[in-house]
Amino acid sequence: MTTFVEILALKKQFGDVKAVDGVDLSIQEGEMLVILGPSGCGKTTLMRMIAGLEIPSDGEIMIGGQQVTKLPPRARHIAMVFQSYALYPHMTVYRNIAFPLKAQGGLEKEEIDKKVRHAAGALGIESLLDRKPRQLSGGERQRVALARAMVKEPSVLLLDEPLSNLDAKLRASARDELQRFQRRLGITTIFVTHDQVEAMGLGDRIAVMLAGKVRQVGTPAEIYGESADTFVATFLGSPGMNLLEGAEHTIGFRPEHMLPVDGAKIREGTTRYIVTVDRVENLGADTLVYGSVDDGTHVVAKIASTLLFSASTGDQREFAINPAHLRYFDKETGRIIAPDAQ
Amino acid sequence: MARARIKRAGLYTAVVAFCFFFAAPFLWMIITAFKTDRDLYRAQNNPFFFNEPPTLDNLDFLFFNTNYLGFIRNSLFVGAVVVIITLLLAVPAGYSLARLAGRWGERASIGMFLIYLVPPILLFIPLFRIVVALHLNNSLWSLVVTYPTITIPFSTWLLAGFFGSIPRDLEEAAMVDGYSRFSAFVRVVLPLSVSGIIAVIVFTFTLTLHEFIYALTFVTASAQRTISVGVPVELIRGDVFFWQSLMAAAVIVAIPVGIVYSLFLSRLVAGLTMGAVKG
Amino acid sequence: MSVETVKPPRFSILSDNERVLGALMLAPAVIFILALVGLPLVISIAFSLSDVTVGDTSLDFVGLENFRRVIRTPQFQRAVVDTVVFTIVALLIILVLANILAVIFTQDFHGKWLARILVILPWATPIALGTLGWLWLLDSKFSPIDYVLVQVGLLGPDTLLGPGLHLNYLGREFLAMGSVILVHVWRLTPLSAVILLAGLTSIDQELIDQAQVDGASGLRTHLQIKLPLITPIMAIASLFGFILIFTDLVVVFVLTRGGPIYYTQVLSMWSYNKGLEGGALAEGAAIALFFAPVLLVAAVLILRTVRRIEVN
Repeated sequence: MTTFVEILALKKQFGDVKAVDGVDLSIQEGEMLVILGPSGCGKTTLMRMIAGLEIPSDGEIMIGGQQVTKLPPRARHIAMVFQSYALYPHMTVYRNIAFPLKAQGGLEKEEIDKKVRHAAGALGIESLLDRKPRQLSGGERQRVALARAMVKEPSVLLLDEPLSNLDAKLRASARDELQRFQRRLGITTIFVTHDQVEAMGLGDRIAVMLAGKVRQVGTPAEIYGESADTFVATFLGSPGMNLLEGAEHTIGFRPEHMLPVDGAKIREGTTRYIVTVDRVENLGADTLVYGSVDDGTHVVAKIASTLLFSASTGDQREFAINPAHLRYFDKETGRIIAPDAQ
Repeated sequence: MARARIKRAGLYTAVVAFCFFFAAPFLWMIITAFKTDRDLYRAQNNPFFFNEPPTLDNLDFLFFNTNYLGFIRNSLFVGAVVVIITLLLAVPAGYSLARLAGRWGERASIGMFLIYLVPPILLFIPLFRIVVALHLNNSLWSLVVTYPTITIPFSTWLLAGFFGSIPRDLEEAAMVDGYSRFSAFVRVVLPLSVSGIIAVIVFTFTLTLHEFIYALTFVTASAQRTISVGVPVELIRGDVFFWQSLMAAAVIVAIPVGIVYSLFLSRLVAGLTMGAVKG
Repeated sequence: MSVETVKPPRFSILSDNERVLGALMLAPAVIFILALVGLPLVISIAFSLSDVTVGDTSLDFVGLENFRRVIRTPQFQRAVVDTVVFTIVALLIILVLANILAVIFTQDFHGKWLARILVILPWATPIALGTLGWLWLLDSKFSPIDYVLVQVGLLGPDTLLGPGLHLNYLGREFLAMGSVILVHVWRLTPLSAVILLAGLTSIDQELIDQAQVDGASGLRTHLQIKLPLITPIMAIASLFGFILIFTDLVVVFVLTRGGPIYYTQVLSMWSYNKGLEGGALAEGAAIALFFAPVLLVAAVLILRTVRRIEVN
């Protein structure tokens, strides 16, 4: 795996606001890297700098070994799909897809036609070539946007929250299509989203961002199982990790790792907590138990429907957690403390 | 980087060229206003400099020997009253067409717009007869009564488009809260429509300030004239043109109005955008 | 638990019944227009079909005689040609200039606030007064433009523009026509630029970003993406401009009164000269009614454009 996109100490400041505050990222050729974070974390600004729509205040961007930091978008061999898909409303699907080829110039009409039809074929939209964008469904629009992006054979594909405008049912199938598409073409892809389920499902690796900085980069398993700090730990997971203030450290454990002591066979040597139940939500496949421990901190437990469990408001229930699932974070910095140092 | 610099230079050149084309006449008008007759009426003299010392005589003449101040007063009066009448009639009408009239409302609002296309030149003779019949001739009220025929159709159309682009949810929320439709209109829609209303006020005021045909035909007494007609008629007596005073008269009106308009430009653009562009 | 009902306030019937409310809010404007536009229009048509003059105020029906008489005059063809030519030429120039000006104002530059004021001045000035300024600028004896041309060596004995020291803009046929067009361009470009600017700023920024990423240059983006998207608003602005120039009386009135001879006598000027100055009210009205077919076509075009905006 070779590094294809390199981002070095990248910064962007708007007046007093530090939108991106020193980001280092290496994106491997052919991988799908997801940049995940809440609104305002700087992920879109970062994406726009990679695309060339914003000039960084400091730092460098390299694509394919070439310094592109100050180059305009059209010099970078990239393609981008926006949240709204930005299909030109006054042009047919055909002309939309042909547009980047015409803009780049130097191609004969027959060549352009061949490439457009090839791209349309790859995405299964040949029958839509004469339609206008307003006549298309959300899923069809995504495919047109992708065809337009791929028709000029870019080296990097940038996607800015392209699934946010689709309704929930459509989102899952669109996500599936997108992943197959990217795997099939093997193109280096950067995907920005605030939806952690999307990120976990799509990304080969995920970069979690907050307030202009990258908190952690890793595979979904690493991000989830070995969260680097309390922010990542609580941002990922639905619901996120529970955090309790211990004597020396902050202790964290995920809701799904809390096992009710009655109704399950619990080994010795597990950490136990008594939870006063506040509210129970039966979600079908899981049951969420909201409550608090003895010092008043709120916790949430996620219990699979395969376990027998029932509780009402005010009940006290004991939960056990396998010590391997406990995480310890520094009280001041929030960063995780390595197991051997515990 | 050099390309960027050339582009920048091109931009500034274009800006200067346009500003020159549009504003140079005014600069020159200002200079002329202070010129003596001897200086002005010699073809060899440079029209852009003061070959003789500048004089205030022409301004003197303008303010004290003509009804200029009266003209300004009359124009402002007519402008203000017509703006009020237009708002009173066009705002409810625009809302009615946007929200309350259903399908035929769209057609009606287009119809409104089409009325605007009927040129004053077609109407001024019969209107004059009507004005005389109402005994309004030679009075500013003749203008106050007739100008809205020009301003209302356009304003109604603009406001109908503008109101139509405000989401219905807001009014409906107010109605659920207990307000009547009319109340919701006043409390919710109007405060959000400031840009559209400013656009209407600016256009209406402009139209009344500029209007010439009706002002020329309906009002002949000097004391009742508006700027648009008073200045050319009073300051051109037969073959004699009081050029310097004419130029002064024009500039004195143009510059304050220009400054005010440019202040409201962004609001105006917003008003036009909501109304006309989004349809 | 009982549910309390709130008693509706007194005028609820009025302010809640939408049909009634709608009609009431619309009525004043409609009545006003019918009385002061509809009625005079009908009277105008009546005049044109009669023999009324300032002297003879009895309305005797003469059918289409006025129209026939008007068409037979040499001025008729000239008036129609002038009106159409002035309008179309002026409009084309205005569209190009307004586009450039609007694009300029989407950029940021030093002194933008001052430029805005300067550029708006022609529109802010009452038409009559602004035109008066040009009347002097184009004067046959004292024109400053002539002065500059002489200084620069383009005018005067042995120069490009001819032996005389004055170009007599308003006294020569084609120069006079050009002058009228010039003043129309001068006063209407600022307003058109404002309208176009409104259109340009309302375009979704993502579309422009996408075009940049797709590799389009600034010019290509403007011509192939932005202009097509603001075509509806350009169409409306053009049609407005068309009406304003087509029916204009003031500029011609102040600059040339229709002269030299009748070379710049557009339809509205002719209607005024005949009707008010000449006293032949019926003929004046007939001339003005020649606007009607053109305005009808313009109206239909506007209707279609507006409908297309709404469909999109």
